[in-house]
Amino acid sequence: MRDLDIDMFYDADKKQYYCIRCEYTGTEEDVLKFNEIVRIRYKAMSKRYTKFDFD
Amino acid sequence: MDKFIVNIIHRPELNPEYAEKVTGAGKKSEIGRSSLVDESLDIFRFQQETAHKNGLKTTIQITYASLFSQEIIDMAKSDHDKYGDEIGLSLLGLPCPEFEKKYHTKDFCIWMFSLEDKKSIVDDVFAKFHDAFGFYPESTGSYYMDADLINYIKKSYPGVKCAVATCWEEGPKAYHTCNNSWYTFMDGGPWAPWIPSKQNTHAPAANEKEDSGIVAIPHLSRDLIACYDGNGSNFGTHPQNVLRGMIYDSKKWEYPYLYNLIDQYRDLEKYNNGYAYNMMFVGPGWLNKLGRWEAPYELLKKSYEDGMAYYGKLKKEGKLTDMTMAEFADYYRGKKHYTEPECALWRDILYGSDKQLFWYCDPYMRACINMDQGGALVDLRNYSAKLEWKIGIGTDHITDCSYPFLIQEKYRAGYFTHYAGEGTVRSAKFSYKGEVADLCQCRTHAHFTETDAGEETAENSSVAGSVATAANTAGETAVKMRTLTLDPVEIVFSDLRFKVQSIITFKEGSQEIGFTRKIFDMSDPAAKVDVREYMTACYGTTEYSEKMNGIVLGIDADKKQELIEYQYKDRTKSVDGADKVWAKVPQIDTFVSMEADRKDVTGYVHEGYAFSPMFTLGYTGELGDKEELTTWLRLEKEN
Repeated sequence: MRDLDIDMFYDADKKQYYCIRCEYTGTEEDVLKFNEIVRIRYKAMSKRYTKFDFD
Repeated sequence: MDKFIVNIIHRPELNPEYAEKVTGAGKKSEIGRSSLVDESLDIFRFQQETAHKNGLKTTIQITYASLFSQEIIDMAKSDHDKYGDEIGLSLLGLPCPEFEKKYHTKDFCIWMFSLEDKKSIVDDVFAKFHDAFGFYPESTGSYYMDADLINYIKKSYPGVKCAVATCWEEGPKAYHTCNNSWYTFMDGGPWAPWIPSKQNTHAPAANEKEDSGIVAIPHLSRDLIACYDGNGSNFGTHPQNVLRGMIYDSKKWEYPYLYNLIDQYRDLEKYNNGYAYNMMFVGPGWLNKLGRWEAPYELLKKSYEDGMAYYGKLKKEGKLTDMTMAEFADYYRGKKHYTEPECALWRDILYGSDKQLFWYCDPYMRACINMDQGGALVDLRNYSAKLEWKIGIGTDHITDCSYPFLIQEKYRAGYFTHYAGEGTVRSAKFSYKGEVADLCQCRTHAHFTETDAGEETAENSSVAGSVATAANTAGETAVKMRTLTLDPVEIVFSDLRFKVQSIITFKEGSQEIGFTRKIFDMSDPAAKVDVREYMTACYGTTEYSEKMNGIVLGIDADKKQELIEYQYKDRTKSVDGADKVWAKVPQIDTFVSMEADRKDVTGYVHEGYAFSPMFTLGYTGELGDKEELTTWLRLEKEN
């Protein structure tokens, strides 16, 4: 996720999101849940830095 | 006096490249739809108002399509008169019915056209601009501007002094991010403003003769770790890119990363004689009212307002100077001299590590030192070659503008490889009684100093000893030494432990990087440890290997020369007391060599093989406690 701008489409009949590149399918709730996983690796996402060297 | 300069750039488009696709889903393609035009005007108006509300002047980069809109022309004139905004001309935003009627193509990237078409388009666009405003622009730009294009513009419209000319590390990584459908390959260029050479846009000019006549600025100011390590598109001074990367709190709609990024750029004045730079250039498609990616319009709008508010706050506090592009070009030429490098000691501000890189760029090289790998050189471009690399339809490089690498740790594995072979990196190995340690395994940090070259010591003096005099555009001279002093690392073997300190020097104008290794605190003061200083390299612009035939490896020694012509045979040659080990890489006009400051070392070259299509240059020797070895890596143009 976010390594790729996923080609996500919505199937109104099935009320389901799906990816045209991989096998992912899910509801909007599921998509939003997985979006949060993207942020796990941004461990400093909420931190405000004031020092940028190690002097 | 410290100065943090910001360029805010807006471009009105009548057919934003993204908005066209998003809003057009399910509709028949019809460029110029009235609803899209209205939205584009609204976005431009919003961006301008937001900047002005925060006391910031802008550079309006008029697009060809918008030159057909009297409303946009009037808005630009009005904002120029009222706020001092510059009216420039972008070579983005070409598509419109008039353009398609004349050129019969959907191509929209100016550097990809044939040279004949480039000239024709430039003349069309500049003439139309002159018709609308009564003068020619002083600034222009695109995502990339190849040398032929810049040279033609400067020759035909000499008043042009500034251009957006590349987007840092937007190459294969960005292509992959965009589902292999975004053909902007422009790795290997400067991350901060520079004066492009006439031969190759990415390679800065070394003197007046090479000077293309413009000051180039990068498209966005990008995270010098995240953009290199990651996918390359989500980490810049572009609020909506930060949203695209999902680098925000989805409940609070907060994005401290954006401010950290701006602040780290401000901090770079420490390494560049009190000067730092930022640019923000958000195309209108990123503020589409249908939202973008997973972000609703309200968040897109808020992030732009917040970004501008932060710049505005810094300006009010006296910590920021806003300039137009043309104003900046004048400032830059007064501030920098040709051989003065751009330096950036950059830390991770996103992933929570203490990783630190040092980026160095001058007219002879672009280099990256990775402190997470013990000060290894992990990216290297030979700007000395001033590679004449024609770009566009009808050339050998239709879309590939990247300046070729000799070392690229992501595309050629770097230190760690699977099963066999080795990747591209410049590092050192130490061995004792069969155990081996590479400095790439030793994480550390670096400290930057700048001194007059006259203060150099014997240990860091240049082998070549021929430092170019760095005359600036104002006729002043300065030759400086930039030094990275790394915190010592400890190497522990079963029967021996010792510390190593690396000192890495960049002497201005020398075309060299010096690496000094100092050994101390050895547990057995009588022991000798084997040292291997090496550079494993190849050439390329993508992840995939290139043909190595034609490369020649050599060792020069007193009255002796050893050669290997590359045939993938895994051969090695070595000579005791070698003066120089080198490689000629004719594919990229490159001569790269290493020399050592001691004669009691052995120079070697290694060929590589099909599963490891690299070559290695290096020196081996022995070091005891309190001893040191210095080697130089030198880059030259081969032909």
